[in-house]
Amino acid sequence: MFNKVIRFFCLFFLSIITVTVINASASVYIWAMKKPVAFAPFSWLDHTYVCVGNSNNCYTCPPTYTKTGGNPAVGGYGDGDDAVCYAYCTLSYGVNGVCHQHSNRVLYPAGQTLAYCGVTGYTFSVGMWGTYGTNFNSCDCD
Amino acid sequence: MKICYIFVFTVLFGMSFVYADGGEGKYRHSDDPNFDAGMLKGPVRSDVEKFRNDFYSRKDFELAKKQKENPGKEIAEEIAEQFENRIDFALGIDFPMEKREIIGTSLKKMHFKLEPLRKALEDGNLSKDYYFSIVDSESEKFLGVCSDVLTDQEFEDLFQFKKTEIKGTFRRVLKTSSPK
Repeated sequence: MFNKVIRFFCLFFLSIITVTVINASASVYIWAMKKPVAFAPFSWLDHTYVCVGNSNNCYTCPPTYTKTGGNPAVGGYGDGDDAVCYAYCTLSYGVNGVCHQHSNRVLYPAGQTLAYCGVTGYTFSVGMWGTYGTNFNSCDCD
Repeated sequence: MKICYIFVFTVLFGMSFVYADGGEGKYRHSDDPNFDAGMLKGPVRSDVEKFRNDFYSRKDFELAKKQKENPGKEIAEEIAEQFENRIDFALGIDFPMEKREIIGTSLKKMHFKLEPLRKALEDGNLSKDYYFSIVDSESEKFLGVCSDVLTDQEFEDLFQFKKTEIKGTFRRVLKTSSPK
């Protein structure tokens, strides 16, 4: 009887550990926000930023630009650490990309892009810098 | 045997927390008390629209992943491939091949010109102002070619601005980085 109880507890704790490990390696929700640039004549453009896990952990390019307000554009689950790593990967504004490319990088672990969620000005920026910016291959985050 | 049942039960019981938490299998919610993933998924979309968005988003992602795993291709070629996806989505997969080729060639031509300049800028051998002035004029040339090839409606569907607004587009994009 004693052995059975011991076995039961061992298995119970083993399963708890399994669940904890699964949870620890689980993904967080990564989502992009879009916000029209308020002043004319730029009002056709959307500025974008991306939040990782919670709304106090948002990133954009250049980093001083707004990271609040706007409407949700796209989101998905992915590795939060990778997303933050991509957020800090060098991107010179206007040279390697703009906020759209930066947002796509942060969204990369979630397998999502801004492409089809009505971000205005996006097609032009893809033509100029591609989906993830011209130096994306130099980001070592996976 | 009983032990096996207990084990299976315990694991399933534990897993149910993980699944119930995120509602999406292995996923879990944010720690932010105000976070609501449901609200962040944006306005309700039709199934067709959602399928289309997911399909093209996946296509973009897969293409970039492939390019990241096999570096070495010219950046101009990579961007031209990515731009094809934009044309597919905005103008349809049946958009005439001849027009695609003209746009694609013009885009590649622009990047073949800009790439060495970008490298010179990154190496500190070129001023940013000079580089931006070249980008400004090259991007206008590219948009000019698109303007010639596309109808007014096609141009607007693809770029979300009018043909009459081509001048200074790159500068306008740059200025959006001013903090508010």
